[in-house]
Amino acid sequence: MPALLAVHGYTCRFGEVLANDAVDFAVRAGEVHALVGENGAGKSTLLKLIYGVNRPDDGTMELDGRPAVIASPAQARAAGIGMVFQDLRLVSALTVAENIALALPVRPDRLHKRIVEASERYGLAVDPAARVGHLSIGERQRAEILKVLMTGARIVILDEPTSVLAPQEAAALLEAMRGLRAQGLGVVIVTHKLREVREVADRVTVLRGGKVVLAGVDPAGYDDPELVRAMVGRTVPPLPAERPAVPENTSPVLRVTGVTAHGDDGRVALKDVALTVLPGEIVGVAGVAGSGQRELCEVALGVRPTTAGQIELGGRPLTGGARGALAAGAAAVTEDPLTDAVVPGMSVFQHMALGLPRMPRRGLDVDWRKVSEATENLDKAVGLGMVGGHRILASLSGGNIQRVLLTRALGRADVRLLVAAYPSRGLDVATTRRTQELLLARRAAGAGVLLVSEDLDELMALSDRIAVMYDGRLAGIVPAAEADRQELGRLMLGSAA
Amino acid sequence: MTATATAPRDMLAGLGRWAAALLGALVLFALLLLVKGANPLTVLWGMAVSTFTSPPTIEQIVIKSVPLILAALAVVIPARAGLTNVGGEGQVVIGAVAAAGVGLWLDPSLPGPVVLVLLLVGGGLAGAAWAGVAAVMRLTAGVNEAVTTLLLNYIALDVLLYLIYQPWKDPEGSGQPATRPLEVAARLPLLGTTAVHVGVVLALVAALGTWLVLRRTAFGFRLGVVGGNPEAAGRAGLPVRRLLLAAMLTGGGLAGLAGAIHFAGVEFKLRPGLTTNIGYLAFLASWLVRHRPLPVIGAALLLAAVTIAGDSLQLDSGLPAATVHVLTGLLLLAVLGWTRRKGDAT
Amino acid sequence: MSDLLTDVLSGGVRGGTAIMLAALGETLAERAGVVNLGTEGCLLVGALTGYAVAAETGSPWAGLVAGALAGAALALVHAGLVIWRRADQFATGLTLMFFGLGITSLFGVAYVGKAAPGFAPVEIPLLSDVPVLGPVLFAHDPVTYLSYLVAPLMWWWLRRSRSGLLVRTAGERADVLHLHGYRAGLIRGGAVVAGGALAGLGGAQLSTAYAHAWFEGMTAGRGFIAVALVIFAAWRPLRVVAGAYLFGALLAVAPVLQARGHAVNQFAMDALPFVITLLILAVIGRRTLRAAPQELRRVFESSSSN
Repeated sequence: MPALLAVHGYTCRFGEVLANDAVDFAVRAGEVHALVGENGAGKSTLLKLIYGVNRPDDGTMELDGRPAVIASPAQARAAGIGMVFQDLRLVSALTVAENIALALPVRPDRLHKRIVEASERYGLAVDPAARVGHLSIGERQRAEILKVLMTGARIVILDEPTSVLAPQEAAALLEAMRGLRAQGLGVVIVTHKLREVREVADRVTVLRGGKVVLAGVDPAGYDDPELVRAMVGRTVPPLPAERPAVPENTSPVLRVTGVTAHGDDGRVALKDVALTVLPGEIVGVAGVAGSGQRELCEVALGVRPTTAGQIELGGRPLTGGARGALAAGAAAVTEDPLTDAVVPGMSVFQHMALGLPRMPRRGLDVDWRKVSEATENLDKAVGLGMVGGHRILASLSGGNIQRVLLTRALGRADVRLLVAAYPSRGLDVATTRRTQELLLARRAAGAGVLLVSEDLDELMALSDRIAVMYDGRLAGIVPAAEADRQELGRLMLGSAA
Repeated sequence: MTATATAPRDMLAGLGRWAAALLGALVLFALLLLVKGANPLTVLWGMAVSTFTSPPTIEQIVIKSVPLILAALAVVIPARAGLTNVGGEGQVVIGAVAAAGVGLWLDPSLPGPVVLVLLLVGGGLAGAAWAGVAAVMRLTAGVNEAVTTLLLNYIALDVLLYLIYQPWKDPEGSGQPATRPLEVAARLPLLGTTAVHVGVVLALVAALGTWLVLRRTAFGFRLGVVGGNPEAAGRAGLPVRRLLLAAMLTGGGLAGLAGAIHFAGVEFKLRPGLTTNIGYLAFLASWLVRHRPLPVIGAALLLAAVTIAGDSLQLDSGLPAATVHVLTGLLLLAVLGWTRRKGDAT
Repeated sequence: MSDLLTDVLSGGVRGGTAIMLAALGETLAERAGVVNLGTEGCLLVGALTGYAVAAETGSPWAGLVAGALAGAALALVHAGLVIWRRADQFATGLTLMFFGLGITSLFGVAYVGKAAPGFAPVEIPLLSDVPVLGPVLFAHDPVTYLSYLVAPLMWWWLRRSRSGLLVRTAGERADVLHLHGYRAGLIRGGAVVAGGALAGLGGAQLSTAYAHAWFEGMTAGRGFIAVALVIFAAWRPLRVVAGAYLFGALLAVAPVLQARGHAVNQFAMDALPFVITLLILAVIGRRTLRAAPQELRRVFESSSSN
């Protein structure tokens, strides 16, 4: 039986970069095929080519064994290819039914019954009348998958679907994928978690540097180090386990007591949260996306006003908003750089000037020569390979922007509290590793670190303690050494009691 | 702010786009005149001849451009902070009203130059206060300033009309709704033997000063950060609200000053049609050059010339003076739509 | 006293109709994610075209249709520039207002002081005899009756129809439309043009059914009030109606009082609608902003840098 979908020799070039280099990839009916590789390996490019967002420079495609050309997402859908994007393509202000109606030529109010039927058939429970903005991330994802299935997809591609979910939710999703496989659909899951590959995939394809390294092999035939080596081209040594102990009896750099705060939508986003970060300690923050992590970082940085409770930085109550927090020695790597930190039309130097503890002045102007010197020093100290100082941020890729912001926050020796949200997003394995080492270096230098991440493995490897958030509350704080995934997952889902 | 070198080829292409846009606007204008039954060639030729061949009209253009430059800077500075000040018209009116209030109150008792300085200051402060209303509403209630400044324009006009129809009406006038004229001693002095008042110096200094501040000071840099991404500015510890307020107040102050200069240099009394759309024209002038403080001078001169040409239009061709708004509008539409380089952010 | 109230309310409905139509048009555009400050210009060209065509053809109905078309044409320019050429929405809208001012004064000279057939009030039998409500709602010109239908229809259409869903999506998240193979630009453009047609209709009502005259700048900022009204009506058509009639009533107070021989300050009364709009925005501005369509919120929150 021919594969549902097969591509041969797909090649795609972006300027100098060969993002896909003669890639072969196939999906059969009734299988789950895992596509793995580190950031920048070419996974997203391949998906975009398959889904018709971009066109390959070379290569052919077959659907059910017949040659086919897909030039747009609409054609891809018509051919039965469905894509569940990592950042879901749902409209928050609309109901589930209305969102699904956008994909089907039907009036939304005539769709409820069909949605209920489909959600029972595929085991994806979701309320068609609910407004998407009110749903949890897991529910939204189910709605998105349902939307894809109801448009008649025979091939379902999921782009890193579990990265924003708690372990239990992720397990449920993997279960749903097995259900799809049983119905004869071809399922592609993009992931970088080997655990998931083992749990659900029948075959695995590994990409590295735009090339296929392992082509549709049975993962059972390879052990973990072999798969990791295939992904990164070398073995990654574990992070140093020998670390200085957290000094005892010191006064915390950050003390949050009974803090309540509202989110942007006006709803209560933080409820009665209490937390301390000691100097020389990394406190990890885990939680399903949108559980209050963002708001916790923001109150600690003085960016978001609180309605109750107290925040102390370096032993003093935090006053004067962001200015006060920066003066008290806080620095941040923000969750969403483009919204929170990047001024698109400005240069790297100008961004550096903003991040310096005191903007150097010459007369009424900024002393740009000093800024340039400081930039050079930071770049040297951090060693993330930042682009030149005159480059305009709007012209940089996500990874290069993140390097600029990491250099700005991680290079300074005078930082007492470092708030780092998803610091390794969009970075390749080597840069991620360097970033993690820098975080440990800050810790060793006596700074307190509040580290938010969606990667439990990263949190367990770096943190001294892990605080788990659920629905704006602190569901629990666990010493990292004693933490286990199931326990953390239960806390993340609020079912600790 | 961003000092990117522009390749000569890009510049040529840019110039080409500009020329095409302007030509397109002129052609459309000519077509409209045709539809109206006028001969576009005669009209345009007449406009050009009467505008550019006689020294008095050239002086008129310069005089007209003074409040336009100042009021355009009132758009430039807030725009740097990401704010849209469409309230120049109201700020100019209120500036003129305050200048008249101060001037007509004090000119019998104080020496002229003192009155002049006080009325200019008064006009500036009043303009700043008027813009401040919109700024405060943006900062406290989150209401978009483009909407509020527009509404404030109409209120300012009603304030003016109320005053000149009732309390400030000149009892010795000819029954027209207007105040008495400002004493000669308190008026803006003229430059040498020309008809141009010294306000032109103030306007040029203001443009140069704005350029320096925006380009060469930490304040200008911060304003640019706030305009580029207010969230990032706040997280970098910049006093965002204070900067926004400062930008809007400075802008309003300059527009108010424009009104005061227009009063003390050209009008000398308040009357209903006082501002002749200075505020709106200035908004267009600022957009014409994408809010760059020095080119604003050129844009203001251009629009001043078009306006003066409009007056001759009325005399020569019997078309209403407002006809030139069609040309101005078309010019700006062409510029807004067709002169931006590819890839520029909105 | 109740007589006075009836007169003010009735004047409010008659005078508020133009504002209501313009504001409903703006609601449509903004629900699709586009602010059109040129609404003032659409009203103006609608008013002149409506009046001129009524005068030339002798049919006010033809004037009405022509007014709507003129409003749509001006809005089409706005749509083209902001969607196709990605021009700044505020600057383009304001320029169009200016252009509208110029072009109506150029072509309007001939119609100043010229008579044209217009719409006369038609009392609806029985209904107009109901105390208070009768004269307030059912003793108007046909255009006003017609306008009663617009808001409910728009409400229903936005909420229930497929095309309404597409318009709402364009205002919330245009990339999703794109993903599903729709041209978000076309949907937005359609909404803006339809909105301009409604504003043009409002303008024609103003000249052929309300003022029975054309004069330069006769809309006097009604278009801007309409834009503000949409904001504090939180983009909901039915609330727009209430707001528009409120402003109509404010505009009607001065003439009603003057007709009874009361001395009122004309300019204070003229400023009143604008002052009240500002006050309402100041009080509920932040709350309504949360209700704003996402794409629109972006337009409102960031604005003119280079």
